[in-house]
Amino acid sequence: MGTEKLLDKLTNLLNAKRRKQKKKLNSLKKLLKKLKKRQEEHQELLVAKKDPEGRKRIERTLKVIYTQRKKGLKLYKDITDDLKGKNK
Amino acid sequence: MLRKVLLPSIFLVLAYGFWISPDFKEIAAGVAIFLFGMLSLEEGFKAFTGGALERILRRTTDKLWKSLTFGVVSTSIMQSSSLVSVLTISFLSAGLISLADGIGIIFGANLGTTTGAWLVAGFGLKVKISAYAMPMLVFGIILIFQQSKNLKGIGYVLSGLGFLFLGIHHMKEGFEAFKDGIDLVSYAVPGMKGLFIFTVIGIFATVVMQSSHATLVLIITALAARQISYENALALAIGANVGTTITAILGAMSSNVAGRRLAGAHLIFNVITGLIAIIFMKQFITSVNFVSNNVGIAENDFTLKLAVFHTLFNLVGIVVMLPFVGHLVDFLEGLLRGKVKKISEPYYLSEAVLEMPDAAIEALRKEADHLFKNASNIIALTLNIKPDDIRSGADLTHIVDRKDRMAATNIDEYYDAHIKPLYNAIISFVSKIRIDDDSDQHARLYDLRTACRYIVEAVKDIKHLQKNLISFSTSDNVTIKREYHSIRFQIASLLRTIEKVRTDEDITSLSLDELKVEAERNDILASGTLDHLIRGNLITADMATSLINDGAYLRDVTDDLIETARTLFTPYDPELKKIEDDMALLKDEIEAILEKK
Repeated sequence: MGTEKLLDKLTNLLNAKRRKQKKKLNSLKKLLKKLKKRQEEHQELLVAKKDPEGRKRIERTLKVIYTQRKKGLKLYKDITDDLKGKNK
Repeated sequence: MLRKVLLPSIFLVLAYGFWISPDFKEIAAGVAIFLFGMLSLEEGFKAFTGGALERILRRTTDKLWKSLTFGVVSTSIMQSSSLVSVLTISFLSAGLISLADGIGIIFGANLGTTTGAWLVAGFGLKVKISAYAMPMLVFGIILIFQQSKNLKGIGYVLSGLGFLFLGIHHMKEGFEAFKDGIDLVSYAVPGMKGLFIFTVIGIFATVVMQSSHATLVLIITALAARQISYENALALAIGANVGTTITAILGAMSSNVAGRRLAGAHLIFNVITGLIAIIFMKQFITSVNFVSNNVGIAENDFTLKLAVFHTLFNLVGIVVMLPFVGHLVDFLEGLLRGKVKKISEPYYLSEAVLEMPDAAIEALRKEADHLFKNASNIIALTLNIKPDDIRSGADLTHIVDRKDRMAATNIDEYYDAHIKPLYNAIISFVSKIRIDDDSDQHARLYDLRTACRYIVEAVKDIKHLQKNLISFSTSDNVTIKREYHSIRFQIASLLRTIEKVRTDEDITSLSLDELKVEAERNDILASGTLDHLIRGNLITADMATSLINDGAYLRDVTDDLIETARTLFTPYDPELKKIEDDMALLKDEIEAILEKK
């Protein structure tokens, strides 16, 4: 284990807020992964769907997932920035 | 096959009967009016369940001696044991009293009715209640048209009584022809054989005249004219006592199984009492003489002696039967089994898990899921869709189209059997869990309880929607029919999506935002659809109001079910919940997706 990684672990251990942020980041990562998977599934469904009403519905679902992912990615960036700021 | 043929056959037989005999027509009409009176009476008493009448009845019938006294007093006042027994049947059918209480009242009514014999024998008096039928009907119907639930209830009770009296009156009128044919002298036979024959005549005469009082008057007249012996007169009185149960049996025809059990109890009591009186006739005659001598009744005053006998044998009947009331209840419940009304009971809530908060919360979540399943079934049935069709993969459009003509599902009945008992158990269970107020567990507990409330509200909202879903399903206006068809489709689609959420482990609470978008899109007011329909004169103002109201109910059902799904079917993690809340779509984002902005 490198010195930097070791220091990071030690800081996590001593800083409760940072520890919490890291945990949040992990949960967010998992959630974004799930959304990504759902997005891909719906993109495949859209290709297969022929009727216009069904296609519109899937497109709306894709827009929902897209908006949520966009918000999630922004949140992810905020937390990592925050963590980096704390590192500085 | 038999069922299909039965009703038309009954109609044909009745029609033929009406054609050949006006008396038969009058009797049948009397029975029909009487039964209608019973239905109205029950409807009226239902309005008071949970209210003052229930409290009064509970207080006056909670002990056997009280229900006995109730029976004696009410029958003495009304001068009709038949009427009291019919009223008791309707109390019982409406769930106001228990079978044991009802039996107590019936026993008491048998004693109370003997005051009639005293009145007739002693004073020649007879309270004629049938004269009140018309005013009762008039007052009753006026009250039915009132807004207040209590006044409406009183109206139904009054008109019910009015119809009962009117029905009895018509039955009596119809039987007048038979009455003249009853010549007591021609049947005079001495000994035990005579006793039985006159008992049967007494039964027949009372059934025909629909009144044991009328039979008593007949007996007393015949006795005074020395047409029959004193012993035969006593046998007739026994017969009158048994025959009077016919009214209760008639009343029980329109009643539920509880009412039929009570009519059964009435019949058993009167038959056993009658048998005791016949078997111990000599002892009874000695006792009557003994009592008569002591109260100063003349040796040859047979009419008053008859009244003594009537009271005495009913009193003996009560003394003999009272210790067996419990057995009688068991016997009747075994003999007359109702349709087993399946009531949902909690599967997971047990006292044992209360001590462990995590286990208690999981038990509560599972029970809430059970409640949701029941609610989902009721909602599907209200939409005229089989619950299994919602869970299947079959094309929903096809399913909704197939069952276009709506049938009325009795939501109240389903609610009482499958929602209320579970919700009651859940609320009681939650109140027993001890958790710190500021813990995550407490928040979860609160969420689960709220989800259960949403489920109950969704069922209530669907009940509001039901009326128009049914009435507009057959409307001539194609547009309104289509709109309500669309409401059915939207709810069915929501149920199916939530069912997928329920079984999909990969789902997150964010997926429910998709349902929110669909709900917003389908909102008839927000989408401008309603304005378009009104402007284009496609629907009437009345239809528009219905659509606005029902659109609101639809939205409520949708929101309730989405929030329920969020709490019950997405993984619970307080940390994750905060993140998901941050990522959930806001109103303007939903509108942007729908390109409203």
